[in-house]
Amino acid sequence: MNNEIMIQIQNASYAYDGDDEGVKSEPVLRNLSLDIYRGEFLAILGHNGSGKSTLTRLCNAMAQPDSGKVFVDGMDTANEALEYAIREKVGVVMQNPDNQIVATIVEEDVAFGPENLGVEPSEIRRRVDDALRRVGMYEYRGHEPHKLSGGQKQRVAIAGILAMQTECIILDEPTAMLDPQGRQEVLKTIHELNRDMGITVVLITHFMDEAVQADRVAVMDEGKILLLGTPREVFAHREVLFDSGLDIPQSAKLADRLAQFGICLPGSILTPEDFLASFCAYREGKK
Amino acid sequence: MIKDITLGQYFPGNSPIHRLDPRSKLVLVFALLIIIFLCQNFFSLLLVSAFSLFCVLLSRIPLKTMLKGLKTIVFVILLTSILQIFYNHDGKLLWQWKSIQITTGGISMAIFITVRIICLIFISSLLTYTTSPTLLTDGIERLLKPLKKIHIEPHTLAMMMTIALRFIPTLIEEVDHIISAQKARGADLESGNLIKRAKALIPILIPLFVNSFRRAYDLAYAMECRCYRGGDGRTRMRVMKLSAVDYLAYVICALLLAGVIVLNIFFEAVI
Amino acid sequence: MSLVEVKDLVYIYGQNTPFRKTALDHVFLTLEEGGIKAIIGHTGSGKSTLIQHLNALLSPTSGTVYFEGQNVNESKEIAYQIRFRVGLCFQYPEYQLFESTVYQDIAFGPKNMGLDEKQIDSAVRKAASYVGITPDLFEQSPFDLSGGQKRRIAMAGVMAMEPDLLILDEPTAGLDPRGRKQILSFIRDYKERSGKTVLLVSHSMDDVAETADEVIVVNEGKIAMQGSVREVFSRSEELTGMGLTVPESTRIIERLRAEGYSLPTGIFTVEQAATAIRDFLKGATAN
Repeated sequence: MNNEIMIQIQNASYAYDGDDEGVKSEPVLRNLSLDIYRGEFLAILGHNGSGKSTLTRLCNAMAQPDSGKVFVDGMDTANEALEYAIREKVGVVMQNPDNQIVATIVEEDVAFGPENLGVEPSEIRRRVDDALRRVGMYEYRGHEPHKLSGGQKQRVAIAGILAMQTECIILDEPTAMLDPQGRQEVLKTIHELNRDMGITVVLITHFMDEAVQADRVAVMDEGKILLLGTPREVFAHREVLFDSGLDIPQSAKLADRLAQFGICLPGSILTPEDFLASFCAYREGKK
Repeated sequence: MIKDITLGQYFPGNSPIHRLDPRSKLVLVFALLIIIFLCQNFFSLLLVSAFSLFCVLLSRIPLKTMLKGLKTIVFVILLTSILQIFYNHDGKLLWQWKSIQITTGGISMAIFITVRIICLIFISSLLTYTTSPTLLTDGIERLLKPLKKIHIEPHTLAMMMTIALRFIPTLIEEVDHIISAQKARGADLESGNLIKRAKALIPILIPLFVNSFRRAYDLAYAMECRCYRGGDGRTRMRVMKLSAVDYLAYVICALLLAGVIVLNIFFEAVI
Repeated sequence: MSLVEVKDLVYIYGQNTPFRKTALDHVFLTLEEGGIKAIIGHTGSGKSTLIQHLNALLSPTSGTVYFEGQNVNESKEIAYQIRFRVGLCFQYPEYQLFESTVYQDIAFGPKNMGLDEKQIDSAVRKAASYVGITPDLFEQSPFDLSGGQKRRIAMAGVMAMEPDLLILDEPTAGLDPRGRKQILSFIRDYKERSGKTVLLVSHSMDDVAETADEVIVVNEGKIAMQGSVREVFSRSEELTGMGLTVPESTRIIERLRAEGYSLPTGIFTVEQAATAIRDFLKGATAN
């Protein structure tokens, strides 16, 4: 991770149109500022309706903030001429795997983005093959999407974004509708893309264990960023998380419960590995 | 499982027929259907049916599958054959009972028409058996490109077809799911008169429509996210280029047409 | 007499097609009355097929399903009536709402049962109270409500039939932590207040650990395990082999056991894990 900014959100507010003409409903984003760095893995946590999905729409120029600014790689999303240049940089994967696959054959679907961008056929072929290999779906290139599992469909959707050679992928609860196995497949894939290709990943989720693995975590509630920092920093604020309808990883809960028994394990614990290491250290210390 | 429905009736393969450019296939199938209709006697029909059989063998689609495809029109074949047998009174009288006559002319006409229908079905199903719906849509889009001049947008048509093909299995699955869910709440879809049954569909149709709109909204969003802006400036991954196989196929078809015409001239017409 | 008795149940999808697939392979299962039971198994294990046999939505290829001694497929009429006694709430039930008001939608099941106005009214009110839907929402359109509310209304629609056995397929799928906790507590409440038996289908082991008394594991169309939560989760290795995960607490304890700490097996909640570790440490200092 470096300090170059990929997406910059400056004091953005947004409200959807209300039922009555000209009247806006309750704002979903309130004066929100957030810098997303190039190459980082950012997890955004928040309960349903906290404004996470709206944030996505601002980041790929599908919506403009009512006030404030959003820049993608220095490009102002309010500039209509840059709309497609921005969407080429920032790809979006949605929650429902069924509703974002356009074509009847896997490789055709992956080609959809580059085709829209007017890329040369031979270059599309190369990108499609490469993208499908990256997500481990190359063997399925000739399959019909509706016969794939949820996890496989999401990987195809990710490949479709990769083939556009995007620099940043925003995933809006990509695992919410998947079974544990599908979730693992998708998570493994996005971590690989982040690590091996340096792609900026923004993972919107309400699974705490997914957030734990990120470089940084942002917690959203009522259209604002409540907490922002490394997973350890963020998960230290138990009260804030609970108050906004979220949770902490079970390993952390276990450590907390033990602390109530007077057994204080050293360090901050987020994963079973942390727990194990900390527990061993605690035992060593007692000896 | 309902998930396993296959779109169209495509059988993946790599035969020369499979490899033909979809545009060629569309044009050639159209030409062949005309050639089949041009046959006027058994000699030309024999040539055409031999050719159809040759195409089937070449495509490596099992004959059994092809014959299964005839199942749906067996009734049509039988009906036309019977009509021919009983109403065609040409040729030698073979059998008579009161006013019902069976003649050699009737029987040969019945055979002629049956063979012709089978050839028609074989050739047209070869098109769908050996071409994926995607390629077919693509081929149609490119063949219809000249229509752009009269302000009909073939790209939009093709896109709609693609999306329909893509979502039909998803929607079938969804209908199945909704039916089960409403049945679990005691919805009775099977009994009662027409009005009652129509009413019983409401709990199925409303969620289906609501969900389809949600899907459509999602899909439109996903397409826009992937920079979709209609057919202008859009390229395609698949380059359609006529190859040697295509030219060969055109030549063979031309020869077949010539053969049929010659046989039609030299032998007496039966139809 | 047992509540449910499944005898030698076989179910084959697409019997006469090339896609022929055995979904249930000689299944024997007995469920006693009372409590919350859970069926777990990965996608495609046959668990969804199994539950659709319990309310006669599917009829067996061979074998018999008895509900309170009654063969559920004995006649069309019995198969129809059994749906009111075995209430089945499908996954994402909010996508099956269709009536113009919340009240009407909940009343759909009771109406089909042929109850009179008064009985329907009391059934609807009772069911709504089980899931925290207050009467002031009754006249609203279900489509205007939040996702979580829609799900609860759909659940109430099944509860309103006052079934002796309530089957819930993935009731917490796609919900955020707060929504998930809420649904689970409603389910526990429902069991307490109605005294009816609940069968939960889930691949969230945490949900199962928090709510169920008894667990049935389905794998490759067969019943692989059946027993108390403690018994089943103590076989975590086998579960992992079937593509299932175990709760994080169980994993931590297993890891500690593997490190040589003599902790008990069959632990599946944070509370149990904390107590076990405390007791272990106490014992260790005593020695």
